[in-house]
Amino acid sequence: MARKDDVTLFREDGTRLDGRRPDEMRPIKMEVGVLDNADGSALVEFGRTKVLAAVYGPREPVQKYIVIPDKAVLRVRYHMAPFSTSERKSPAPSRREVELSKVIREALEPVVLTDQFPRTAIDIFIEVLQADGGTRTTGLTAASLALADAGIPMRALVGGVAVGKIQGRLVLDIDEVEDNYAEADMPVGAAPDIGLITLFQINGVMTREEVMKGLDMALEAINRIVEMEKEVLKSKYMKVEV
Amino acid sequence: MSYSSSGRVVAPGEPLGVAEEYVAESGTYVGEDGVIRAAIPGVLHLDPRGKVVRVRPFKRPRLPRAGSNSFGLVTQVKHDLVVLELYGEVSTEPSARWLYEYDSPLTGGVPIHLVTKEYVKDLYSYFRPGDLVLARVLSPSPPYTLTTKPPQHGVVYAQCSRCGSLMQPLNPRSMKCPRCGQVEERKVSVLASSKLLRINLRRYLVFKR
Amino acid sequence: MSMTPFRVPVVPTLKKEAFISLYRKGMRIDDRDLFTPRKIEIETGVIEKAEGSALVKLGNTKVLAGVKIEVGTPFKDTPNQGVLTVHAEFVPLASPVFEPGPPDENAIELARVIDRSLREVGAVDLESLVIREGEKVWIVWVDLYVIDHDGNLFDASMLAAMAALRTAKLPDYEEYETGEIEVLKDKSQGPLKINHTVVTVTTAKVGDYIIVDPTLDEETIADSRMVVAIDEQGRIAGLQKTGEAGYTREEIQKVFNISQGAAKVYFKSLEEALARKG
Repeated sequence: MARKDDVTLFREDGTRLDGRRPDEMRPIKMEVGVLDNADGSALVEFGRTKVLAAVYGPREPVQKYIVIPDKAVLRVRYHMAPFSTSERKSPAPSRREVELSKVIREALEPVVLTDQFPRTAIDIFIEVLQADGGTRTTGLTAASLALADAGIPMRALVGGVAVGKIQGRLVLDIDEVEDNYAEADMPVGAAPDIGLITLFQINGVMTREEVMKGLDMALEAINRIVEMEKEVLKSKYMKVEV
Repeated sequence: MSYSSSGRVVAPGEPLGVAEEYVAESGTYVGEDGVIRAAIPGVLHLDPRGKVVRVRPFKRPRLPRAGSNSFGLVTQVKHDLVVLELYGEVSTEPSARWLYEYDSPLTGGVPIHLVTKEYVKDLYSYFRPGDLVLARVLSPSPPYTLTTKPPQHGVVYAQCSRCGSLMQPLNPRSMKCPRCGQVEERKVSVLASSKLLRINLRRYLVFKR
Repeated sequence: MSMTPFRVPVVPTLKKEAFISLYRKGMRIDDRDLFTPRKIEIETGVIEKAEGSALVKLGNTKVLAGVKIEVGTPFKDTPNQGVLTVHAEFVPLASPVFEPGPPDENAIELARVIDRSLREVGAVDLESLVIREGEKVWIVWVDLYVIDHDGNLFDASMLAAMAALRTAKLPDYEEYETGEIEVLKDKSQGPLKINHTVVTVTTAKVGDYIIVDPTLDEETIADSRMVVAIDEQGRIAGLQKTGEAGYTREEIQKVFNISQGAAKVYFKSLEEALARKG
């Protein structure tokens, strides 16, 4: 969304409207095992963006014809709750939700060890409860936690964050206001343990140098996000083990 | 080169050792770079003598395992196949007891040649839709193939087709209704009268017996 | 809900190995090298009733783009801008794998990527599309019609959309005292105002190789694809990683290097086709 620079998004000292430095993320909260019925679940918050993810499976899908003989099928649904946005959003899936469901599924396929469960489906449901920028990357992070919580084997955990270009400057973890005024936004999802970038999009205009710089900024932040995921997964069971 | 010590909690993606030194067992995988990593959150077990590394998971998907005993419902009796909906795993040694429910019901089948040792003319005299049975899982992934040949496998609960009451086992080939006296042919499990099989399925079925 | 597609093994593993052994020698099955797109044919003005149109043949892939321009109301938050909207249909006659029905996730993704690539760089001058600010503007409908699928629908669609927009004619109209707008048939004000030209370059990753403009067979065996939108100034106007594998940082660098070279080939073909028309 390119808009004219009639609005200041930076203060004199270079900090952003909410006081953050350009390379600073919003406060992040993560919790696993928040739902009882689902096999795995997680609630992740990046500032005011709140996303709930749940995993069911591996299970037998009702439509038996969708299965694959040598591995599990991943079914991902990214959906926004009607009350999640400033103006009520119709519950019917929008084209954006269809695209993001695909993009998130393709960000998880490289890491889930699906060949251990042939002819089954692993269902991943991502519900955005409150949207304030970065919903797909927060959703990806929540999905990764929910899969691990369900005990579904993965090559590595994935995390995501969006980088924006505002008034010529690169900033990390843009919120909704910043997204509206940004010249470009770049959601990134990666599995740092195995050095793979699994989600990568650019919406806007950037030079190649800006893209690589922004990518590196995102990857560094994702290292920290995945470390947090590991802490949350381990600490859930540390108490049990002791 | 050893990356980690035994007994500690690990998360997916964490490196545990190299393929040259250890054999990667359950809960781990070997990457293209030869590094063994954890695949699930759990406790690391490193056996330096046996040269084996595994991660004991905190949670594991509960699916029928090959060689295990599965409890399920007969949904269809075709001319050469008994179709089952499987609910959970049961242990029969040292005594019959319920182990766990699967995360969701799965489909399995007992082909005619695996129903019993004798020659089968009509499958309907061995199983009927609505019967609850115990069977051994033979295949590792869906659709599951099972057998009911051994004596502990077969029908554990069946309703009388005349009056609907729960029938009692008479012998390995028949059950009798205590209310109306009807006798029906079934492949009866020797565990049919066992108390264990008074189960409550939390997720999908509740038996009030 | 998005689900893992079952790729019917029409292109068995043997074929994948045959392709890779060719890539190792820097060759492909159709005598191209790894970095060159297929033969490009662009024809504009093919649908006279549309305000703009183009048929693009990229190898055997054929995409038709139709531009319809109609009077409508602007969005609330942009009263001084016209509206651009992009849709794509994977027409069932284009491929044995396309089924009749509403656009699936692939068609939606394609339309949205093309839309963003045009919108973010401001390819179409939306402010020049205002008739009466806040009330009446021109709506530019870009409909992409895939009629033959042999891989790389993104690049063919982008070229078709761009060629159709560059040759589209803005209708002439008469405004009455009542405020009513009457669009005059067969009369035009002139061409649509286009500020930037954008192409997309699709590369596929097959093992360690990055190849430009994959055919359908190559797409089927590929691990993943990257679509990079590049404008006439060489800036990156959009990007979409599409497919089920991941990329290393080095592979992304490689994709950019290769894409910038291939973009020049697309621009050259596009400008030549448009010059011939004009």
